[in-house]
Amino acid sequence: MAYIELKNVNKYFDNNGEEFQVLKNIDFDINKGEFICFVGASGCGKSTLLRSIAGLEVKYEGTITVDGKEIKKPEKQRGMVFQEPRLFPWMNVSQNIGYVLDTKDKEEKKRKVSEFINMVGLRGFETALPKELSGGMAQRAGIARALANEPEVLLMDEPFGALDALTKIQLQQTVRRIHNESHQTTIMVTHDIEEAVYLADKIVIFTNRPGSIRKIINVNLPEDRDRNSLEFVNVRKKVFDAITISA
Amino acid sequence: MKHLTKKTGYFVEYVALVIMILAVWMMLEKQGTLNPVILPAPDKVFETFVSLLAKQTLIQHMSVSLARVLKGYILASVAGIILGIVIGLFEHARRFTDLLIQIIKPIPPIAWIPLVILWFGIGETGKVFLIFLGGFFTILINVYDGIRQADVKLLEVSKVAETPFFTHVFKVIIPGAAPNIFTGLRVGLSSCWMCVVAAELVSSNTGLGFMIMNARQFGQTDTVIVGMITIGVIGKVMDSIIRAVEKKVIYW
Ligand SMILES: Nc1ncnc2c1ncn2[C@@H]1O[C@H](COP(=O)(O)OP(=O)(O)O)[C@@H](O)[C@H]1O
Ligand SMILES: [Mg+2]
Repeated sequence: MAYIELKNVNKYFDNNGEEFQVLKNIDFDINKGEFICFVGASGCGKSTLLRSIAGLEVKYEGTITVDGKEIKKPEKQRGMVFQEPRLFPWMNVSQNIGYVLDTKDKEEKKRKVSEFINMVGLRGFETALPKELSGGMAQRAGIARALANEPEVLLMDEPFGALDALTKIQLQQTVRRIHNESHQTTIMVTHDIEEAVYLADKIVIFTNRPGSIRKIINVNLPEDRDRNSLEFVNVRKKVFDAITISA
Repeated sequence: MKHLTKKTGYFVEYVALVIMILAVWMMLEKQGTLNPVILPAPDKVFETFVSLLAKQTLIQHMSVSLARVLKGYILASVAGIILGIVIGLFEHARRFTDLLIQIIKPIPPIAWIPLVILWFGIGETGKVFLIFLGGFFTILINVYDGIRQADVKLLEVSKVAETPFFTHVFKVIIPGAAPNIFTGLRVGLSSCWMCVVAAELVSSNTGLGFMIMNARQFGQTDTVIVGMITIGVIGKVMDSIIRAVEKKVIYW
C-alpha cells in the first residue's frame, strides 16, 4: 500500500447552478518521502486537488487516503503553503510562525520558531510585521510556518509564482536543501517546468479542464541537481514535450 | 520646513469652513440685520458661554449628560461586542436573532421614549436604557459584520493548523474584525449622544438637552446655541479619543 493513494477522484463545482467537472479520474499513488510536482494549465484543477489532499475540499467522488486513512478534514500532519503568504497582518514573523505550533512549552516554541526562521533565511526579521516584508520575505515566512510543525506531508500551491527570478531560485534551493534533509513527502503545484525538474522525484502532468493525468514522469536525477547538466536538460525537454506535443 | 508648511496648510484647510461661517455670522450682526431671538450675535453667544461657565450651570448639565452617555455607551459597547462576536461566529445564532434585530434596528430610539417612560418612569434608568438602545444595535451589527467578513484565506490557515477554537477566536477572528469593531464604537457613540439629548428634551430637569429645551421656552437662543455647540464639541473630542485608541490598537 502506498503512503498517499488517490483512487478515481472526480470533482465537480457548481457555477450558478450549473455543474462542471474540474477533476476527472485522478488515480495515482505517492510514496513516503517523495517530492511530487503537479504541472498543468491554469484552471485545470491542480489547486483543487491539492486542497482536497489538504482536507480543505471534501466533496468529491472517489477516495484519497494517507497511510490508509481517508482524509475528512485538514490535519496539522499535512502542512500547507498557499500561493499567497497568508500571514496574519497583526502578528510579526515569529508570532506568525509560532501561531501554528501547538506546543505549550514556551522555550521549545521559541527554539523551533528561531530554527525555522534561520532555515528560510529570515534571521533579523523576527519582529517585523508582514507589511514591512517584501513579497519574497513574506513567502519565506509562509514556508517557515508550514515547515515549523514538521508535517509528514508538505503541500505547496505555486509558492514561488509571484516572485522575481532571483528570489525564486534562492527559495527553490532552500526547499531542495530542506527536503534533502527531512525527506518529507511533498506535493507542489507549479507551472514552471524547470522548477519541477529541479525539485521533483515525479512530475504529474495534467490535461486541461477537466483535469486528468496526462502523464507521470520520473525524474531520476540526484538530489544535488545542476540545472545546466545534460541530464537535467534532457528531463526538462521530456516534460516540455509531454506538455506541448500531445496538447 | 517644507513639511511644516504643508502641515500648516492642512490645518488651515481643516478649520477654514468653520471660520468662514463664523465670519459671515459676524458680518450679518455688524449690518444689524440679525434678530437676536432668531440668531444672536457670536460675541453674545460667547458671553453667555462664559457666564454659564462661571455659574457652573454648563459644567453641571454637561457632566450629567456625559455621565448618562458613558453609562449607556459602556453597556452598549460591552453587550454589542460580546453578542456581536457570538452571532458572527455561529451561523445558528445569526439565523435565530436576525429577524428580531432587523425589525428593531430601524425603530428610532425616540420612538421608544413613551414606552420607556411607562416602563422605567422618568428617572435615570430609562434614560440610560434609551442611550443603550441607541448605541447597542449600531455596535452589534458592525461587530458581527466584521466577524462574518473575515478573510476566508486567513481562516484556512487556522484550519490547516488545527488551531484550538478559542486561540483562533482571540488571535485571528477578533483582530480581523477590529477595524469594524472600532467603526461600531465610533458610530455608536454619536447615536448615544442623539439619544441622551432626545431623552432630556422629553423628561428631565438636568442635562444639556434640558438646558436647551428650557432656554428655548424663555427665548434664550444664545443658551440654546451654547448647548448645541457643547454637545458637538464633546462628541468630537470623544470621537478623537476613540480614533487615537484605534490607531494604537490597530498597529498593522
Ligand atoms: N470554490 C469554487 N467554486 C467554483 N468553482 C471553483 C472553485 N474553486 C475553483 N473553481 C474553478 O475550478 C477550476 C479549477 O480551479 P483550480 O483548481 O484553482 O485550478 P488551477 O489551480 O489548476 O489553476 C477553475 O475553473 C476554477 O474557476
Ligand atoms: Mg491554482
